[in-house]
Amino acid sequence: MTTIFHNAQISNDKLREIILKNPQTLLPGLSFIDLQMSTDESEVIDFLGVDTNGRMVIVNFDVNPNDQMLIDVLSQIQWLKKNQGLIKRLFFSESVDFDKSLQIVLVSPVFSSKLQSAVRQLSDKDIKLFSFKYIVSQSDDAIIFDEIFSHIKTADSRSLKNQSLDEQAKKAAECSVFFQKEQIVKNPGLGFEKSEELKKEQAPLYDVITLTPEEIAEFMDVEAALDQNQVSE
Amino acid sequence: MNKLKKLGKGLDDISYLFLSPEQEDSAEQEIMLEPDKTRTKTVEMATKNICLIGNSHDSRDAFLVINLSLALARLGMRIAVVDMDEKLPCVNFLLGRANDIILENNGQEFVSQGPFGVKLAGLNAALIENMLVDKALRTKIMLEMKKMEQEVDLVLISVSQDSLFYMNPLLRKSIEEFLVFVSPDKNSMLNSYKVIKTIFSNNPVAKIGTIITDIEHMYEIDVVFNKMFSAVRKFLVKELYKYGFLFKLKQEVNNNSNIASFYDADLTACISNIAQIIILRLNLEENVKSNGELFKNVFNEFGIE
Repeated sequence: MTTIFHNAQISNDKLREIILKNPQTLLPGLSFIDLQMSTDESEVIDFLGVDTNGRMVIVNFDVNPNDQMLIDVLSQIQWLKKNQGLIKRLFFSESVDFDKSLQIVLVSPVFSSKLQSAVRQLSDKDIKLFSFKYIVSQSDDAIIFDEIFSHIKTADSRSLKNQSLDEQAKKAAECSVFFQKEQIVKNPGLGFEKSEELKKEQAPLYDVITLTPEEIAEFMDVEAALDQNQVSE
Repeated sequence: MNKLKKLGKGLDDISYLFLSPEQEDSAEQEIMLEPDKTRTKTVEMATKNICLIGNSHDSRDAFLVINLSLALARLGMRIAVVDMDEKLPCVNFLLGRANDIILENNGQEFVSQGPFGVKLAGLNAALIENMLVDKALRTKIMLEMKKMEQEVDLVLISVSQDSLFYMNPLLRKSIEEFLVFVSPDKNSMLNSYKVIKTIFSNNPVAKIGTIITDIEHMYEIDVVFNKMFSAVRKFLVKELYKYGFLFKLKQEVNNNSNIASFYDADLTACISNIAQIIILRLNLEENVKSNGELFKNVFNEFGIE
């Protein structure tokens, strides 16, 4: 039997509860370490989390379209940087790698094209944008998260002195893609743990690979080896 | 047959076969286009896929990919080339133009038919984005790609190192072998090593081979391969296979020209050797079951159903 769903307005509290119970819908391996964390800019970080690699993740949401979200999250990052010592002490027991850069996840029913253009310019930030649609039927409700933008920058490649590699990393960093990737949470407040769909490990669209200094060093003597052979020939 | 401009013992100028398919002596060409009509593909026959990952931004990689496809076709294989580089160098190289279907669904065949039965398709990110919004285009391309996969023995997928970053769904799919082009240059080798690392991180059981390109002196082949081999074994604990080498092109390949009208016996021999190694490595004559739905799976990963 087909269930008929209708669009519905979701409340702040309901959306917060859904995200709190389903962090991995937004990011594989994400777990929250704090929520509604106030900063001194009279702003609130909705969720502070950590992913499987130990990277800190800021998750902010709004039930209405709001371009201000981007400015807010950037100022929150600045606040976190300014108060790094405090943050380290606060979350000392959590498996956070404070040397790694922050990830940003924004959730909103819709993102304006202006905001989407703006995030594309933030090539030094890891940002994911999720739009969502909340639907209800007579007896059931569901929320559809749609990952509409994902930008994963390469790791710090400053150690690579060679220019072409820097260019390569830059190109990879610019490789932002808009795409459709929907995650449906049926009965979001209740039945998440029963949802087989969401139990599957979500593979990222692309993994960013960097070389270790040891690997780079391995190739440093290539030209010498080639020259040596040339002489002997 | 008088229109076949013989350029030497190896490479033939056959661009006209693509550009003007309706020739007067079509019956004569038919023999050229379908050299192996007696072979019929059994249900059990596998369609195998090789991903060729180039290291240059010009037409040099396209030169190798296209001529390799022709060399394999001459050996009796039914070959398709799918150009997945953002700039579609293989399509440009062979057809002398970008495939118009990239921009709009204008009724053209998406898969072009070339000499020796080689099929050619261009599939870049722009087209995939168009497929997401244009249902008719999506249906057309998916049908043609499926038909193409069913009709060939081997699909050569050409992609550059840069394009590989957003073509990652490819890495996780049923590709028999990845062939990474490596030049005897420190930066190129590092970039190629990074590609190899990316492939293994996405697909730990991948088989990766190298084709050493831009060779000027024979000693370079062993130096480059041994260095790559030892680095892969040392840091990734994986094997690397040797597929051959290609001498440095003595002439620049014009991006807008059709098949390069120059002849080099050394290059011909190199490409022929690589083709033979591919056949030996993949046991292309063996009948092995395969689902033959690589592109359907790749499209699915991009959200195209």
